[in-house]
Amino acid sequence: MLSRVAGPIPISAYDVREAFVARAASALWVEGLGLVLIADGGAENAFALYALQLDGRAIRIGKRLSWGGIGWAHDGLGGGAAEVPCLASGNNTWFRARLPTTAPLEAPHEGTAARASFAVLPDRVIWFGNDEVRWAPHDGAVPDQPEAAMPGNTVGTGSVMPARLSASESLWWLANLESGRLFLYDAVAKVDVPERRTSLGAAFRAAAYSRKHDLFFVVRDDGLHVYANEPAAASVSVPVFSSAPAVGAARELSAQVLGDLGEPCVGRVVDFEVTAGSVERAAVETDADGWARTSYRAPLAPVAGATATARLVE
Amino acid sequence: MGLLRCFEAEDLLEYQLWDGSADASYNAYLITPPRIYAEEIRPTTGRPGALWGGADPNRWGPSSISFFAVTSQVRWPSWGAGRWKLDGRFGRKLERLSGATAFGQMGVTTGLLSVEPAGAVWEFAGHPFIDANGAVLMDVDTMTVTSQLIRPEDFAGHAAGAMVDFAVDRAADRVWIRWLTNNVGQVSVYRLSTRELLHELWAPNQTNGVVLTHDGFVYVVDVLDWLCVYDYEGRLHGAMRHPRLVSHPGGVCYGWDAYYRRLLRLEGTPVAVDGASTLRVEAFYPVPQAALLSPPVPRQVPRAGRRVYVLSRAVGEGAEPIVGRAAQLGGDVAGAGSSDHQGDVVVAVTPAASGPLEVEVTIP
Repeated sequence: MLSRVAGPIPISAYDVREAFVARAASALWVEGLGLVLIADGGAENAFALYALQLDGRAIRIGKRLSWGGIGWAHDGLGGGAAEVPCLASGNNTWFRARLPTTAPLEAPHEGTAARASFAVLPDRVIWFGNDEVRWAPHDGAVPDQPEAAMPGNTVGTGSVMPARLSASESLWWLANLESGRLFLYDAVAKVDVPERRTSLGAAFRAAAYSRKHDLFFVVRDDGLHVYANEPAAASVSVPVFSSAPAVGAARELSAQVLGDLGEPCVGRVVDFEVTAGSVERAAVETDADGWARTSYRAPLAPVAGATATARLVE
Repeated sequence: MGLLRCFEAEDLLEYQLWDGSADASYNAYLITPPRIYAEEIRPTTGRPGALWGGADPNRWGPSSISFFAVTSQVRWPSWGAGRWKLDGRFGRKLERLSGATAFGQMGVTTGLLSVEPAGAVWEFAGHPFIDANGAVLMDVDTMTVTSQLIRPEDFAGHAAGAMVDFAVDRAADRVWIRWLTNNVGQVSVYRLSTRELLHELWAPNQTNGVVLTHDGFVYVVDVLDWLCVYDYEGRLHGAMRHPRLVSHPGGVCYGWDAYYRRLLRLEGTPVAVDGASTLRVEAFYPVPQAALLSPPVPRQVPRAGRRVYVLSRAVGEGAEPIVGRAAQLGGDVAGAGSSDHQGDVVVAVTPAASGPLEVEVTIP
């Protein structure tokens, strides 16, 4: 599970005359605007666009229309390598749009069923739901079909969020709003990156990711939660020696810090203690795989019952 | 908050007192005690009227501000039109012109009003005097209607009465029209001479005016008080919001002061108990002010001795970024930063010890 750094921050409409509830899964983090969400129902603001700020206030930015979803296009059009916001309407159309004006940057693409959250790629539209990524052509000429399986989910719509995009890379975060599970999906290879599987902790209503700040913004019924892109440590393994300790000899002593789903925790400080012999450095940072490694030198005379322990600092 | 206010007129837009003459056949409520004024502004299509400013030397300064509006009055024919003129430096009353005390002068009833950059006022309505529907140029110095007309039916695919917002710039050969059939917030831009469609502009919501500046920019105002700034080629230069706090029945109208380069604004306000006008012209520089500065959120998990960054966002009334504002850190840490081009204030902090860390960010 990722580390929560803020929240729950109660959510309310900036305009006190309005009530705001986020529509499930429909969210984008738009730099310069905030967490852009589609409102769910309400007489005054049904399906209007809001920009949620970090203090929990939702500022209405767009009109009340039957927006069905919101996504990102990254297909080399409409701005080169950068992703462009997309709006999907309830009548199975989507188009690139400028926010906050919602000005369409192209003629609507018709035929692809509106999804709450989606990504437009050069050759297809993808979205995430239940335990799989599904795809359909831009024009919906072929019925949508599965593209890849994401284990660990049963039901639930998903959010699709740009993680790393370039001319050669197309990595997207996929989050299941029922399980809270989070996957890093390679849309070129059409597989997820197993070592990056993690979680947003629990079910949520909508989620978005900021590449600029490397933060996840998650809306639940109790408010806005913010997660840093670093797993919370759940365990430190029993320290292990690179080979059996021998009198007077040096050995590598290591321990791994993992999250609750087995995610490696990077940059955490592990404090090694030994009751006999010495370690070269007691406090060591974990590497990209979550391992902290130090050098242990055994005493010159055998010691019975000696122990080595690893403890997470903070 | 909203935009940076730079002017508030000293004088209100006064109504004419009722002189007690016999001709009081209409709108009796206007002179029912305690009310004593012979007229009041009658907002047309949700806006108080038309507002503009420009060079106009007078005894108070080098420029003036004009406001043109339709009125209800006690005299025949029950409606009129007025032009209020204030000096641009202090907002002191200069003159008040009247028209339409009888049919055949200013035939303004309920139409949309729009101001050219040069200060000419157009009205879109049905005009019985010239037997046509369309946008008609008015001479607000003589308070008469001219014969210049822009007819909706001259634009391919459109019919009489189809305009719901518009602006005209004859010098630049442009006309901006939001048609009844347009999408929400969509404004079509044409070459005036040929009626050729050039491009489209968009506001987030239904438009509430198209304000042209003297230097080639277009402020598209919408009903949620967004102002989207475009140029004459249709490029978006920014979007900001200046909301009303109260929904007044008279609505709000914006204009442009070409002399002081500022947005003029008039918001409908209820009349006083005796019927006196409480309308006051304000002006703003198109610079959004911070409405929110969010509490800082760490971008990494804070730990003792670990340098982490905290994020705070400075935004205006429409969540538009507030750029380039200096920020101070407080609480358990010290430091300074500034908001970037996206309104983000990102500053580094290094907790000295484990345990709670209080970080405050303020914009002085």
